[in-house]
Amino acid sequence: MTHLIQSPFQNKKNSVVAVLIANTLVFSPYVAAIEETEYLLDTEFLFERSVPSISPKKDRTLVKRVSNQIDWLVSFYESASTAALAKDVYPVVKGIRDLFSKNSYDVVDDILAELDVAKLSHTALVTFLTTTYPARNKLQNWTLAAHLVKVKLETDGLNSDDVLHGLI
Amino acid sequence: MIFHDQITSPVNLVDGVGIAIRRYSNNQNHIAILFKERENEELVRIIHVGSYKGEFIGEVDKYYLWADLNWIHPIRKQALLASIQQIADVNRDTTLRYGFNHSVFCFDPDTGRLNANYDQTKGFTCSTFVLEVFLANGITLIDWETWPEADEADREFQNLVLNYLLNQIGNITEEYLNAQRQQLGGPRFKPQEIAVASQTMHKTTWDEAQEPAGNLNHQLTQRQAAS
Repeated sequence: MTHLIQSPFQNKKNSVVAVLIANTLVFSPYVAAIEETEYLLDTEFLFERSVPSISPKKDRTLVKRVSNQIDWLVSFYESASTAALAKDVYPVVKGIRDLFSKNSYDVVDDILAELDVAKLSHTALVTFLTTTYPARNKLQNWTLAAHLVKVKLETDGLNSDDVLHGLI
Repeated sequence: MIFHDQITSPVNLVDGVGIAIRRYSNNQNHIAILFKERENEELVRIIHVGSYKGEFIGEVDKYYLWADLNWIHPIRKQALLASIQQIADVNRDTTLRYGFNHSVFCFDPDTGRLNANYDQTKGFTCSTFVLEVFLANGITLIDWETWPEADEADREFQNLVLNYLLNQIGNITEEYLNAQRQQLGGPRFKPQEIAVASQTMHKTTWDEAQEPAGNLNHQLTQRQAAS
């Protein structure tokens, strides 16, 4: 299936560029998680071009990524690969707790489903997990996200049990 | 387990977040959470419950000893610091009631704000407040079940607190006083016990806490005598 999404570098709804995301996903379980967040094209999502596909009908299918629609998250992702300090990840804590205070658990769940473990720093990944941990029973994607973070930490030579103590 | 004196180790050496403890009066101590401010990380402050409806955020005076939380992985510690900074930010104008409650999960773990569990009948000591903040971050410092009911000395302390509360005329409700009276005789979590519990990864039992807490109390006594 070809997925079309809004560009991660473009937050304006009327100037959306379609890009393939499948090749940006490192872990195959993540593809399944992303597919769960798939929505059909709506009027707010107009493509300037489409990606060639065998099935024209599939060209009209896209993944409407939450991470492209929330200003603080878009901004955070721009430097998320180097976010190492509390001040760097503070927007994640504030942003997610603000969403919780609005009972937007489904949005947070989508954020977890779309976590791009290859593009987020270790501190950023852990912050997403710790901030959402208290609400994990309301978040279907928390366990998968935790697993992916654990794998990512271990792949990078860190002791995930130490880093994630008490979380998993 | 090292609790630094600020004479030799300035508090701004803390690795983002830590524990601060000082002698309050006689043999009574006071504990707080140390953190670096978000806007200026050279500025180290405390969040605490120091008195009935006292200020949530305070300054670190020279009498505090302090300790890092070395068992927490550096990556995790940055996430914890960001969380505590956010709790400080959203509760900056909050005042907390002093009382005997514990483990009420008053900080909404989702939002960092005080939630409905912190109703008109609840109040914290400095110790139970510290425990609550860590709970809100998924960290349980002590094994609650191992803390014994109050002994004679604890009851004496609890009566002193109750008398203190009774003197808050015009600022306290009868409902609150009655609720706190019901807590008399319950476990007392001493600041030095919670301070030493913060220094280990596992949930500290009451038995495990006693010897190092005694040592820390002795250090605080010496610090008081030197000042």
